[in-house]
Amino acid sequence: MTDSTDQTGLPPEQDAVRRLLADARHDGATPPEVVARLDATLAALASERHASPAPTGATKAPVVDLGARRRRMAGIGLLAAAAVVVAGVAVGNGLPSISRGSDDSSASSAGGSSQELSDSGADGGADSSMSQQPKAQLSPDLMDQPQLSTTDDDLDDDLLLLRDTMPAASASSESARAAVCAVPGVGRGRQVGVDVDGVPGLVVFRRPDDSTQRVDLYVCGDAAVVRTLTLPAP
Amino acid sequence: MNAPDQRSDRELLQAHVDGDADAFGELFARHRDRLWAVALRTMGNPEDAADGLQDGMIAAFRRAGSFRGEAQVTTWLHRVVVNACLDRIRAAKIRRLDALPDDVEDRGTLVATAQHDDLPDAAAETTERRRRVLDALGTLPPDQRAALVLVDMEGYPVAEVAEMLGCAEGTVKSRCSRGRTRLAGLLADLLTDADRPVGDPAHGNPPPDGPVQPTGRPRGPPAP
Repeated sequence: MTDSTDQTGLPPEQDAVRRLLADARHDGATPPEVVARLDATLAALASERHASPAPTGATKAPVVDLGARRRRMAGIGLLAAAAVVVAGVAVGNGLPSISRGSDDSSASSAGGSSQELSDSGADGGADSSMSQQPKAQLSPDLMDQPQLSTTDDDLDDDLLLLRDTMPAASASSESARAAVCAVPGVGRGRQVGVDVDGVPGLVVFRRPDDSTQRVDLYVCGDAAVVRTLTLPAP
Repeated sequence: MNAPDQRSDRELLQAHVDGDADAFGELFARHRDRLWAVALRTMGNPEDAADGLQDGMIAAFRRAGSFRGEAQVTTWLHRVVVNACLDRIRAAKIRRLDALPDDVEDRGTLVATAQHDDLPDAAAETTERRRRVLDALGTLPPDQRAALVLVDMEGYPVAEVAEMLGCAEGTVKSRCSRGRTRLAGLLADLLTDADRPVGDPAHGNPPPDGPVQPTGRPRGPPAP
């Protein structure tokens, strides 16, 4: 049973313990109640997958060009910055109007300004630059996560690109990420929210040593490392 | 397409990734009993083993796309299940000695697999020995326990266990060696004299009926 090539030359005491352990091996079949439970779980997984084929079907999804994403995010950032300027001007013009709310001559303009603000809040801001800006400030990495495929041969290149382009950490983004993607016992390291094989996950860039940096990929809610890669230290 | 029961593990896993609804169930069923044995011995009791095995199955189902084909599918499955078990142990700080009740399902397994049906005393002795081994195994740190379960109980080669545990072969050997040394101390009375290191009388009971040796100067009243 035990591979003899691994166990040659053991001291007698260790060899005796090994024999005791081998004798205590479990040879029985899986209990029927456990089999039934596993089958039920499998059926639930299959139906979940049928409803949303992303988890495994997405493993062949092409990896997002992180460079293109970076340019797009930069564009969004510029747009957001422009929106801040526009909003500042609008609010600056609006405040005096609101403060003159009792003035009948300016009631229409003040009403128009407040309507614009409430509309953007009500519809979630999908097409409003006013609403995109605060979302991007709160947690940019939760809105548009880069997709990584663990089966891609260029995963290390993607991670290098991700490392070079990942946004600066902030307390708000870290706490938001922790709320959305909890990974128990992930340990220390720079965390970046990603999609791992179509599933929400985390990339954790560990502290680099002299020449290398370890990178661990996790799926949200699971402490098991999906992949570990070693990159050149930044 | 081949009949489902004729496809290789790798073909089944790929079929699952490609959307075959039945492939993963077929694959897992092939290895379920051995995965159960590993989970049972790693977790120490059937309830936690069922939880660990289920966690592992869910993880494998969802992460099948991450399998890169560098190892055997069964090695990958073991790795996922063992990691799920170790995660549970670490999270809940399960100690087998605390978790194992006096009359667990596993005890029945021990009796059922004993090969002394016609010798009740021998069967009881075998069952008791196995119970003590499992109790002692449960006191080991989870990493050492997992290594011993895979290497010494399940008989996997060290190199394959290193892949399962995601560590170097030397680490597996070290964990096994430290674990066996600790178990040797706990199970000293189960080891024969030939198994013990020379000059190591510390373990176990003293020889029975040994004469009490004189301590040198005979006792007497104190000198005036």
